Amino acid sequence: MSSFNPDERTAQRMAGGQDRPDAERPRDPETIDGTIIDDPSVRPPLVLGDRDFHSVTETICGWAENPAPKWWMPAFLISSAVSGIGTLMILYLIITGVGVWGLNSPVMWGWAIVNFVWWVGIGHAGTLISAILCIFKQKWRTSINRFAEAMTIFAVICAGTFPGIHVGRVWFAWMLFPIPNYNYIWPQFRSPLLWDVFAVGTYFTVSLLFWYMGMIPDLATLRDRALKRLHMKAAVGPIEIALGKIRAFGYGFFALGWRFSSRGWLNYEKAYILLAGLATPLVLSVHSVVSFDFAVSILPGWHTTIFPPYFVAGAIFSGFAMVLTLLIPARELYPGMKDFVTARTLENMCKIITLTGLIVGFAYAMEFFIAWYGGNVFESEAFIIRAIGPYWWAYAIMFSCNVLSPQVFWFKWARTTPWFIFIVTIFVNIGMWFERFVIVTTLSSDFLPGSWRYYAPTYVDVLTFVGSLGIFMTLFLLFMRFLPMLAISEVKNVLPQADPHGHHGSESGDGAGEKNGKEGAHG
Amino acid sequence: MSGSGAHNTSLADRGDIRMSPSAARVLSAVLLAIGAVCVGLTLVLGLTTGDKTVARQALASYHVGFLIAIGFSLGAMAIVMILHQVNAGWAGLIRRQFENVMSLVWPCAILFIPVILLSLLGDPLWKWMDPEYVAGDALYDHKKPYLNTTFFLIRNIVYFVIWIWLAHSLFRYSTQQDLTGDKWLTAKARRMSSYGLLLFALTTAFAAFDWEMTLDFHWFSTMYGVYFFAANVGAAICLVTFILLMLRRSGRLADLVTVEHYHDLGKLMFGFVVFWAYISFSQYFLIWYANIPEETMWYQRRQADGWGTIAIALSLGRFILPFILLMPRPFRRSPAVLAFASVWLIGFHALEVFWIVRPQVYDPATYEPIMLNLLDVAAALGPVSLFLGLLVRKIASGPLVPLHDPRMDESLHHKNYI
Repeated sequence: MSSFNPDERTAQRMAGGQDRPDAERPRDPETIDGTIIDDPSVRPPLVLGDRDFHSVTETICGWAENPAPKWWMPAFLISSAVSGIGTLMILYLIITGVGVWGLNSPVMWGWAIVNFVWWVGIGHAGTLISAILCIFKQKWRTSINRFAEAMTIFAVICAGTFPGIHVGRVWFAWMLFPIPNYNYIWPQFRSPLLWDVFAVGTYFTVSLLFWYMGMIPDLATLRDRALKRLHMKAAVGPIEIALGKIRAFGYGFFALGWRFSSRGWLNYEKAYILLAGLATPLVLSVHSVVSFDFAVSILPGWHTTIFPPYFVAGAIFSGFAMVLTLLIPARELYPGMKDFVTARTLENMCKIITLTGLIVGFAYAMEFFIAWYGGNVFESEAFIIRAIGPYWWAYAIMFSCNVLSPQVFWFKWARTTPWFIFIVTIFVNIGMWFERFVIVTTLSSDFLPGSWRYYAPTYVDVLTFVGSLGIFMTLFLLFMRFLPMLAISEVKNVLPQADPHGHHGSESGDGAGEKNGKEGAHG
Repeated sequence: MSGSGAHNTSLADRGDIRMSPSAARVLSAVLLAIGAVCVGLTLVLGLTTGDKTVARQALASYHVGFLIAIGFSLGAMAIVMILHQVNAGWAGLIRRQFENVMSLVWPCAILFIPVILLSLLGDPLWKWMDPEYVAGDALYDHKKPYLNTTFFLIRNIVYFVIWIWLAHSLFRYSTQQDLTGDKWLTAKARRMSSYGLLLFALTTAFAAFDWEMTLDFHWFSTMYGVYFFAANVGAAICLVTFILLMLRRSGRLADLVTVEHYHDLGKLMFGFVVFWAYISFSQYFLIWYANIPEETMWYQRRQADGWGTIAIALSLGRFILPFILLMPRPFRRSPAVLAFASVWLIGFHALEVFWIVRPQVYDPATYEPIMLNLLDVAAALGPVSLFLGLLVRKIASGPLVPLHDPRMDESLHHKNYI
């Protein structure tokens, strides 16, 4: 790949040839695309369509190199317009004050915190897929990890805006950081809101590093190909040459001089596993700290010990749902993507959604049981008001979307039918948003019934949230347009050709490995 | 079965995949004898002195022994079902030992009967079973629909029926496959594990409430079921690692279960050390921070006097030291270190169960704690030793690895590149 001499096939493709169309696979009711195999002695293929290394590079780079698909520009314009509305709402908020939101006593936390927790939760899938599934050696993750990590980073960006703007006087937000100042005002280190700053900040930093580091070899591939295109299309025109140069420079700058040397790969793999190890506890810690925001208080409905693992499970639940929400349309829109993101990949993700949905349901059950068992009237009343009080509808949406809707994935048809999965993931996204809404609106019925008040958002609340969706989609569309959407080198690693010993091949080679292992143990 | 046939036939013919019957007989006889002697001692010391507090102490520590034994079994059951659910390939060679530990859930049911009988007939271990003690207790009156003897017994029967059914079926699928080589038994086990895990989660959570949390029936924590799960799965991994290492020492499975498998067991051990710390810290931290008396009282008793020393020892011995010990890769790949770590962690797991259960026994006149003494050790060792004795017999009763696992090839060639 590092060579500058395009082979004949590459040359043809670069001369304007189309990438090969999706392999025409008739949908088999049993195995779908050939990857849903019940037989325990068979491992389904991870990549379909008889792909070699070359065609993997061609297809994945092609998505970033070929002219944008027709839907891309309209989608981008709409998303950025929506994010513009969100930005205007934030400006309006900063200029006017938090009174433009629906917050009031006793609901002092409203949509801002709901949105923050929802976005941070969504941001958990990427690191779970790249770090934890990497440690568990789940090879199917290679086709979705880049995608999910990008989503993670954009979700955390959206999440980060809300605590920043909800402080009211935004120009004092820097006081969250332990920076010495002339008044000797230090942050309150005993406040979980401050821990949030560190937890989310660390998570964002490590996720970004992980995402970027994993992308370096693929950026180098894009750089080399950009240079090649520049050579091939030298005569097209000055603007295109300039754009091509910018492109080659951009990819080259961020590829950090990667040359595909074996020494480079050795360091890369070491760094990857180290970052995976560092990111794994972060998957648990971030949402645990977010749950502390609520659980360290002594408010009924908020203070309960199961919150940390329950929030983490919920975060993974919503994150996987959001990955699928984005992945299923992308899989239809980008030619060749179905070869990598197989029905099996979707099925596995559906299973994780069902598992985490059940963990969330388990936590609801424990909360309800202990709310009664604990014998604290305020606690049990808080739960009764949640379920049948003024926000009963939110509770009903939460429960049915989070606990009931993923149960459809017990049926094979449901977890192998992409459009149906897509609908369920939308439900899950809605349900998880309402879960945080239910938790926050517990405030509306506080200790003094005289001050009970029904909390409703204003249009500014709603449009700020919609705007954050716009920011998220805008960033995601840019990612799909300009960066390698799938991890090229990792996908190549799980191709059958990448294993020189083969699955059933050379027993002698493996035997030698075992002997080495034993020697290592004794030595 | 085409691709893996060659290996599997040779697997069944090997001499080192069965435990030596004579060694098993001796070892299990010794363990069962120790167990019987300890149970006898507990009965004599506990019941004949006529001191109600001593009897209570003996019963509580016997209960600790029961909890340690069934903890192994339940932890192993969780691991077996998870391995089936995730279609694990690497674990084919080690799964049988988890299955052996899991299958001993029924003797645990029998070991539990004395605790229930003595509680029903004499001074109950669960204070709420004592009508005099709870008379006028408003909280008990509130909890009575859940905390009454009838419902307690029904619940326990339900738990054990579900667990024995799950353990028996999963074990049978695996051993039947040894005989028939039918690969679809693996698919059946996988299917059962899906709803099995759901049933398991609910039953163990409520069992944790019933067996540990309601010993102090004023106290409550939503996390308690997860806490119980985290500790027991970790203990089961340690036990199985230790069994495999001892088998390796006696020349069994030597070139089958390689350092690669131990490495992964070491990773799991490390993972559950951290997970346990995460869960127990979160539970403690939220209660400490909120500082509500109805919640802090449980920790209050366990932070005072001698129990406080044990609490600190637990955070060091069950988290910080093993965390450091299992961090370097060469250590996770060293049989000696892993053997040490597994015994160490099981020891601290046992100490933790004591720390959870035993502070409920105190001097009724002065409320002073009664610290651990030899009676406690004997009382807890009884059920644990009986369990281990039966486990040795179980291990010796069949091949040490599944003979026709359809993914055995992957396990035989398992490697950790990083």
